Amino acid sequence: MALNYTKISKNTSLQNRIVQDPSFGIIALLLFAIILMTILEPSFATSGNVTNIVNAMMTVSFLALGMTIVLIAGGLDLSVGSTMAVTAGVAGKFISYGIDMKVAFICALAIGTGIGVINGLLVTKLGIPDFIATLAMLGIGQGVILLWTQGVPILDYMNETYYYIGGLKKIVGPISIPMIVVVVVSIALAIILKRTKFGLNLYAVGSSPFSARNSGVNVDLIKISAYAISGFLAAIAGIHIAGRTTTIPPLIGKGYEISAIAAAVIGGASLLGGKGRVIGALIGALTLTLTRNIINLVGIESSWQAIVTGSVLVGAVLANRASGEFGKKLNRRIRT
Amino acid sequence: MRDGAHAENSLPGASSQILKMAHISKRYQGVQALDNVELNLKTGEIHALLGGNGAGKSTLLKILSGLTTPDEGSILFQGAPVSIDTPRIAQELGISMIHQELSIIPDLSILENICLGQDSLITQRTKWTPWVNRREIAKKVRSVATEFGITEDELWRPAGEFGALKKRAVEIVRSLVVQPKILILDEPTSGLEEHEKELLFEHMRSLQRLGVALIWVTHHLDEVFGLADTATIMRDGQSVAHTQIKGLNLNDLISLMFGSEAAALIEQPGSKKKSSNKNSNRSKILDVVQFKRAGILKDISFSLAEGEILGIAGLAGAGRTELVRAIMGIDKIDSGTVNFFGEEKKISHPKKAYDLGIAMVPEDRKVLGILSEFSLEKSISISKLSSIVKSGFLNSKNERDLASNYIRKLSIKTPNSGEKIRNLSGGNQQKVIISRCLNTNPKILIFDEPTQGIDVASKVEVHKLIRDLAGEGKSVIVIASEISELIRLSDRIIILREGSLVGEIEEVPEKIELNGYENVERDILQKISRLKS
Ligand SMILES: Nc1ncnc2c1ncn2[C@@H]1O[C@H](COP(=O)(O)OP(=O)(O)OP(=O)(O)O)[C@@H](O)[C@H]1O
Ligand SMILES: [Mg+2]
Repeated sequence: MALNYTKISKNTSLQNRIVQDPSFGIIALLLFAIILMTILEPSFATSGNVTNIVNAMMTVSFLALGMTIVLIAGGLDLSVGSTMAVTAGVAGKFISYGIDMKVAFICALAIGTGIGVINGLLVTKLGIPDFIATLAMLGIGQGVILLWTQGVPILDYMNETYYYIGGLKKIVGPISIPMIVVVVVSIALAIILKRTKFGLNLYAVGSSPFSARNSGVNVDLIKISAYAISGFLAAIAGIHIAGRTTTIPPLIGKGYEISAIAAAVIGGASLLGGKGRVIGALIGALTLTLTRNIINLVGIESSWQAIVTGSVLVGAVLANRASGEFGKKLNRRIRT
Repeated sequence: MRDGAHAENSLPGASSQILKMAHISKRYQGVQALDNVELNLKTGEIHALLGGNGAGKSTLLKILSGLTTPDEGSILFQGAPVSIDTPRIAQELGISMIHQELSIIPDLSILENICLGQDSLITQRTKWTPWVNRREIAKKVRSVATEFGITEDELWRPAGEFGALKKRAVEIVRSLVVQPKILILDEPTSGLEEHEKELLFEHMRSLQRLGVALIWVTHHLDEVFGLADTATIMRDGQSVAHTQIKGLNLNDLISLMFGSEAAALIEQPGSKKKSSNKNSNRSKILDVVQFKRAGILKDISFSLAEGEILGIAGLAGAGRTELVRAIMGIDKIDSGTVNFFGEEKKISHPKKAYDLGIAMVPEDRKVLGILSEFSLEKSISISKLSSIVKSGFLNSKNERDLASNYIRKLSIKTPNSGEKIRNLSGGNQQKVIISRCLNTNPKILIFDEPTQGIDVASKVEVHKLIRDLAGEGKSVIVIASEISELIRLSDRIIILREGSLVGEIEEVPEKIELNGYENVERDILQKISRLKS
């Protein structure tokens, strides 16, 4: 993986390694923004607002992690927001029907994964371009949930447990269940990407599918698995967001696919495939949620919000690239 | 036949038939790539697969390694019929291949490229183990990798950072470390240095001693003698001969490959060079002054005269390719200037180089040269679209005529001029790139490994073409790893080592077997490596 160049300079100091990290620039910017806001805006560092930020970040994180996996494999998944809405609907509706919570969740996860597998099959076996296939799936998912709910928000599913799952109630101190799940999922994905054959094959397939095939990699299977993971994580996001918002409007997932892609790309993933990391997706998710929160707190006029968000996006990607280049240069200097 | 194979197989110890490909046919749109082809292979033999560009060698080997499937025919592996539908099946059977076109994944590290898809390397326990332990793998591949010049440090860096040569080495290491039963080498030596070739041959011999069967494609026929035991010869999609190498000479092979009349045309040692321009009355056309690039080019200056063929000798990493890339404006340099007809020019972009009249045939055609989805005619005309414009619009008839002209001139083998580049055989792709370059009607032509992958007959044509170009007053810069090719072609040779210009052969002997020839070769060999004379 391209980002492994940090590895070769085993004897460089920790300090150097941090500076060389491609996400260094963004992290520095984020820290700067957080400090600035804490000083200037009294309502920023309150526990209520922090909970808000963290909770919203969890939703985007799940989707961005899945998107990162798909992007690494050289694909694109526009259906994540819609899949999230469908699975949130499944969880909420089933519970409101009186079905056991665990069963409802398992169904939601299975449906999310299933949608991912279908995406994968459309892209690999039928050769439909990923953009079109997943865009179609986005539309179908949205249509299904609108038909099913008749456009009426889903209510009557919240219970004590669901407040925990939604992150509205904490288990100890500031720690909530979604935070734990994000950490567990991230660690699992990081291990998969760094230490397993599957992870290696993902990067290979995304970077150069033809060469990967030449080398004996089952390209289709790898791609389908990537979409399945993305669908599974979208279902987790769906289960989580239902608890976070306490009602499920049918269009709950709208626009989330763009956030997921943006977060993944801010985190170093490439739309051309073969690149991306777990920590990057999380940083990307944080960047997006923080930006949105700050815009709301500061009260930027709504027509300016989109412009500011867009600029932050471009700036974040540039900062990422700049620190990557900087790291490489530094590295070269150390070596020679 | 099948019984025979079985009978042979049951003889313990004796060299048995490991592979039998029979009646293999494969048709692509418009071309019969393979027509009833036979290939027989015994354990522990080195089998040369020979034939001109487009004869069908790579297609046959792609079938054997599961990259494509035949329309007809059968494959017996160790006496049992097999159908090799995917590369994975081939690997599980123990068939490993070094591809003609580099298939290296740029974003993965060299180590990861080596172990990708190679279950036997990743783990010895079971193929279902999901883990990859890179440090363990590094231990296993380290020794072979070092032999091919891949350092410990380089194992961990992304393969995309390296040039074609290192990538080739990676492919070789990858196929050696898995201990295959059949190893397929499709032009493995293209672009390799002499000592690396020797190293590879040494490895081929030791694999042979271990009982591995090797299929080897090469256009360097002289390498075949003393290394290969048997050969299958292909011509126009058919296997025309299966023969022992012992007792044959170069001419025999050439007449088998191209027909008896062709053998006479092939350049024999001792033939005279055509380029007859004398150094004296030539005017300078290009001056490269003090090119510097940190760690890569160290203060290089040289000049090029009109109608001159200048060779650049050097080992991998000497900076040959980097030097010409800098001249073309592909790579940025730290300092240095270019004078073109005595006037200082800034070449910051390849487009500028082309506008001035400098064109290049790059070393790694897959990365730099080929627009693989383009048709042959578009690939040629793209370099100078104005050449096919008629009353303000691109004219497809002009384009076709232009292409046909080059197809004839360089004898490019293709069903028609509209064929996609990626469907041509490797050697024919190289010819298209040369055509594209010629189409700009440049004053200076730079050839980086111009004859890689080109068959012996076409090689003569390309050499002749280069000399003719020089004869017309164009200047040529040639980079070639094969020193004898460089000597045969160049009027003058400069020698690079580790980014510095370390020597110059002002006048290369005209006749190849002149007494001076061997001295020149020794001289160059000494200067390009670290050897102190
Ligand atoms: N995918 C394809 N589609 C159409 N035609 C093809 C395809 N692959 C190969 N061919 C054609 O099949 C013929 C044989 O090609 P092949 O690559 O096997 O030749 P080769 O013997 O390996 O030549 P070289 O020495 O130049 O590598 C050529 O005429 C080529 O144009
Ligand atoms: Mg070939």
